Amino acid sequence: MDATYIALAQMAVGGGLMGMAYALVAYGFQLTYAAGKAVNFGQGELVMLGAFAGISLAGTGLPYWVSVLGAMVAGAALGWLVERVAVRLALKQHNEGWILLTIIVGLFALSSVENIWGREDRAFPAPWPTGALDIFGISVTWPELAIAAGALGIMTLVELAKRYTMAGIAVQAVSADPEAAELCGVRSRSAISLSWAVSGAAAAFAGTVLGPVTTVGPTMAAALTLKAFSVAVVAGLDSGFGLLIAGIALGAAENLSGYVLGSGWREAPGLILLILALAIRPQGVFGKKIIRKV
Amino acid sequence: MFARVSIGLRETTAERIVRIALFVGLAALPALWQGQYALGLLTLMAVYAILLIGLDATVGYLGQVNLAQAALFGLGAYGTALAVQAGVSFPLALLAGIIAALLPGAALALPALRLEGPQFALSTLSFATLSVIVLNESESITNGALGLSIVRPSLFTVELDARGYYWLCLLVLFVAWWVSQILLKSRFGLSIEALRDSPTAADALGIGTLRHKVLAFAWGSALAGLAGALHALNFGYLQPAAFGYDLMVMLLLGVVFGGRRSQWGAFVGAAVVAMLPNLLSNRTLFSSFVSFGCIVTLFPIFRALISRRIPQFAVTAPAAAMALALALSLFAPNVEEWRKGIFALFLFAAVVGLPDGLAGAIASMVHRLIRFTPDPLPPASGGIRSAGISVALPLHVMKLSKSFGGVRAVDNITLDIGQDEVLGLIGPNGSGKTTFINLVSGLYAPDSGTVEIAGTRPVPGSLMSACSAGAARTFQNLQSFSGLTALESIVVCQRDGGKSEAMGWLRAVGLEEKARQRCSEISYGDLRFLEIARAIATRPRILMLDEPAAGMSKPDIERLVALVASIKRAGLPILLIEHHQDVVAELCDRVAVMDGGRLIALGTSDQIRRDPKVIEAYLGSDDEEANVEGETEVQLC
Amino acid sequence: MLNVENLHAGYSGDDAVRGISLQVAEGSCVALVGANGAGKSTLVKALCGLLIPRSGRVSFDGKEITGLPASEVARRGLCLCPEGRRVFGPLTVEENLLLGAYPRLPSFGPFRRAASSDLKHIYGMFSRLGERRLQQAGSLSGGEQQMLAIGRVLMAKPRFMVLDEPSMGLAPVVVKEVFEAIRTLHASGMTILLSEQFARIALAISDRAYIIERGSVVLEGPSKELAKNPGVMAAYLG
Repeated sequence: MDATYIALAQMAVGGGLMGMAYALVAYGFQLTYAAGKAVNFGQGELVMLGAFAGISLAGTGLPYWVSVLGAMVAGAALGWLVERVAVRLALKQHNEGWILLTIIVGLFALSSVENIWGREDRAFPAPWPTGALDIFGISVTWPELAIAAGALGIMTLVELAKRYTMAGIAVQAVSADPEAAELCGVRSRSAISLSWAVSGAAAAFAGTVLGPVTTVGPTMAAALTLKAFSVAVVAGLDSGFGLLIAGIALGAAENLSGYVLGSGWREAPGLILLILALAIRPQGVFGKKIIRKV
Repeated sequence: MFARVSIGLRETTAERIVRIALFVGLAALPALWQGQYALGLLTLMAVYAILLIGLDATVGYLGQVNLAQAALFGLGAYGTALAVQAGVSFPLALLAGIIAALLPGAALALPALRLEGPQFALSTLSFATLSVIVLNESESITNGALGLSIVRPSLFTVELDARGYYWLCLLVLFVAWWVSQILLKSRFGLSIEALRDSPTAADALGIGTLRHKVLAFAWGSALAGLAGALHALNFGYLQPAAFGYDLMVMLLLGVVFGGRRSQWGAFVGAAVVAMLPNLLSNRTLFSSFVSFGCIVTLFPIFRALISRRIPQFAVTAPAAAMALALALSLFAPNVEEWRKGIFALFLFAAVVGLPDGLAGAIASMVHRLIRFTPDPLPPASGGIRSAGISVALPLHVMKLSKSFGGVRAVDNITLDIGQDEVLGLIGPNGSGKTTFINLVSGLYAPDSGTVEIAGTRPVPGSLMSACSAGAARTFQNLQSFSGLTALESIVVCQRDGGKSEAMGWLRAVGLEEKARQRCSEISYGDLRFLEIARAIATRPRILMLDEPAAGMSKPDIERLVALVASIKRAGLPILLIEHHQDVVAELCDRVAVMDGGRLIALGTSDQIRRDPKVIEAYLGSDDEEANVEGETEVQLC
Repeated sequence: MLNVENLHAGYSGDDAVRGISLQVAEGSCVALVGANGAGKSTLVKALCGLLIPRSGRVSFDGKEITGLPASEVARRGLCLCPEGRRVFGPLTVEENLLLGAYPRLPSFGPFRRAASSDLKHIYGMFSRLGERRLQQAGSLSGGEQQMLAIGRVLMAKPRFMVLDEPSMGLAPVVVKEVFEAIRTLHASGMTILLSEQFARIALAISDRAYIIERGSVVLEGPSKELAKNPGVMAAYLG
């Protein structure tokens, strides 16, 4: 009995820590949605590309931190590229072609990864100690802690930058009212590009911290996109509050259902949660309601 | 460039002839093109065509990105396979497949179709992923990832061989195509297109968005199930992984590349989707195919360069994508490994460069070369008339209030409109006039107060309910059904009567000549008249016009005044928001003035013009001016 | 300073602005007066780059600015205080003001220090903004938001200021305050183009005015003369 509880708690904690990574990817959705009302349906592919870029950089003998940084730079560049080729045109024409186009760009990225890095899963080398910490009988590994610390760190950093740099304030202004921001001399297009670059960097970073825990392979992408969407939709695409809670809850639920129902069912609760959240409160549990205008 | 050839045929007839020729040709193909492999491909193409016609109902007609079709196809296939295992007959197995896709599809449609755009795409994507998980994990039923094998039962007493089965699929495709075409050209299909272009107007005119969306999605799901059933009986072996993300992307490629909102597009797309993987295995063929595509995408760039313009992104991006695909086809060590990437590049080029798809491009080329005899229009009948006399007031508003945030947009307004009356509603910008109409027409629910339309109280905040009570409105910013023709726009809004009645409404607003034109090609001023025709075609008891003259030229305004006067003569009461004061003065029996959400004056046009409160609302108050600068005086006439 | 020649502009369908020409001399205050729906806002938007004109020319300081994006026009010193105030609701008052000075502040450096003297100047003009500098702009009253919108434009150190309907949705007392501020600005030498539906007050503080009806100029001249012209009233109530 007791052992079962501990095992369940263990599962929940491990899942929750993983969930912080989903929250980080979802945070990327919030950034781009705030700036230009669009999100990347291929964000999971960016996470995967970030992880592979990290592996390759580390493979050339660069220290871990440098390769993480390199992966983030690559992620930022890709994020910018996705906005440029897949989103800008469709948004200018006020249609939803961007949904299709971001899926398409993601698909191309996936195919490139399969051909450049191969279809097999790979381990991500990380300099963390191999042991585990024991907290009240629940063991927490260092890579898992790195996810939590990294996700919190990046989100805090970006939030601080949004508040305490002029560029950040300008991005907020664009998301509040792009026309008025233009009138202040802010080039809203650059602000939107910046958001996409930061979003891409966050996704790539998520890849580098997730890599050491899971493994890195082409199959991780689609599932990750959906998980991050679940988190973002439950928390609300426009509110920062609640992302972490939703992420942790999803991660924990996933692990528990995998444990109870069998590993194939791991992803089911997130998906059901997503459909329910969309059906009941499309604006998100923490989001605001939209007023129709004519 | 070319003279258009007149062939003395209606477009619909010509299309029918070509379609029948196509099917005859397809049926004859196995005689010319021998071999099991070719027959398998043709069968696959027919199955995909059914599937894509279904997908087009949502992606094309509804205009929503639907990512669940591959999964529904899989559910249909599994439904049939399980039914066959249970030993049912051939037709029942097909039915089982349809039901297996239709039920989950409907279950998904009900919640998901309240959503729009990315949220809808997301919910269908999660549904698709979930379905594959369920198929994979319900091992006791589906045999999980190992797959399910079945033997095709005989159709009644006939044992179908591969060729017979192909003919059967072709027949089913023919029927599905035909029914889809009828369905989507019917009032139902027009309604779907109307609500895609403007859901708000569709609701306000009583078309009803949700019901139509669910039905369209259900039709698409049923076709997915049917295609799945045929697929299962064709292959005899099913695996969940076959219905995942890869297939979904292929299907999207098919619909987008083939052309949305067209059964021909679905067919072309199916041909591409079925043949493309085989094309990839023959490298020379493939690279010449890609080179051709590449050259085609270069044309618009040259055209831009010749006219000394910098080519736009929409022109250069497809060429870049095709060039990349060409590079891959020539230099990649293994082209089949790059399958997804190459599909992605094709899709990219198609979405950006060919918004109407291949079928659309061909159709517009045909239209440039051939002049068809236009469909005959029915003679116009009927005209403006009232919905009948009722004892109740057409509009009776009591103490209506609505706030947004802290702003009282409409503040405690009580207002009646009598029989045969035209009431003008004027006031400065932001005084709450449009909010008032939005409340009466049911777009917003009021915070307090009641609205009574012709004696009935519609459900607050329901456009549909207000419309069925007898309210009809136009919109300040045009909400036209841009995919429909003028005549079709009227037909979807009519409560009764047929096409000749619809022509009657068009004649009433002077648009008889434009009946066949698409709304996207009709001028702005005429669209404003079309909106009025749409509104009166619902046979309302009160007509609300929100700034009908905005942006109109002077002759159009004169036409508008004559039209409103004739509507008034026919006995239909009107609430008119208008900035052009001469229009108001000429048409309105009484004028109500709003300022800051409140009703500040009500009376005849002359009374209003002399009312100091109104003058103050429009020109600014006297004492302000006195305080700012005492010396200037504004003379008032 | 600003020269508009035969401008045509509109959103969809027919032009809302039909061949308007106007001039604003340096240091003057010019009013555009007309009922709502006359095309004033469309004109102003076309001047400032929010809307690309269909035809015609806009030149500022002798250089053509037709069709430039709004951010470029603003960077050249032609700044619009938009209709409906358009303050950034979720941001603080101070952040709103800082955004006004965006083009000359460092994107990632110590921007507050760079702007501190300008901020002080604005807080000196509008003391209530100083009191609420850390409050969310969306929580301000309408009048305060209008002050903030004007302050935001002033932070850009414009050479030419366009005010679009500064009185819209404000209580009469507040309208008076806002116009007092505009008058002070004009007195200090700022060139102003004022688009306003309240004719009396607009004519009272401007030097020259254009009366606009259905997208065209129907009357123009010194404001004091126009104030006595019955045609002005006709443009409103027909």
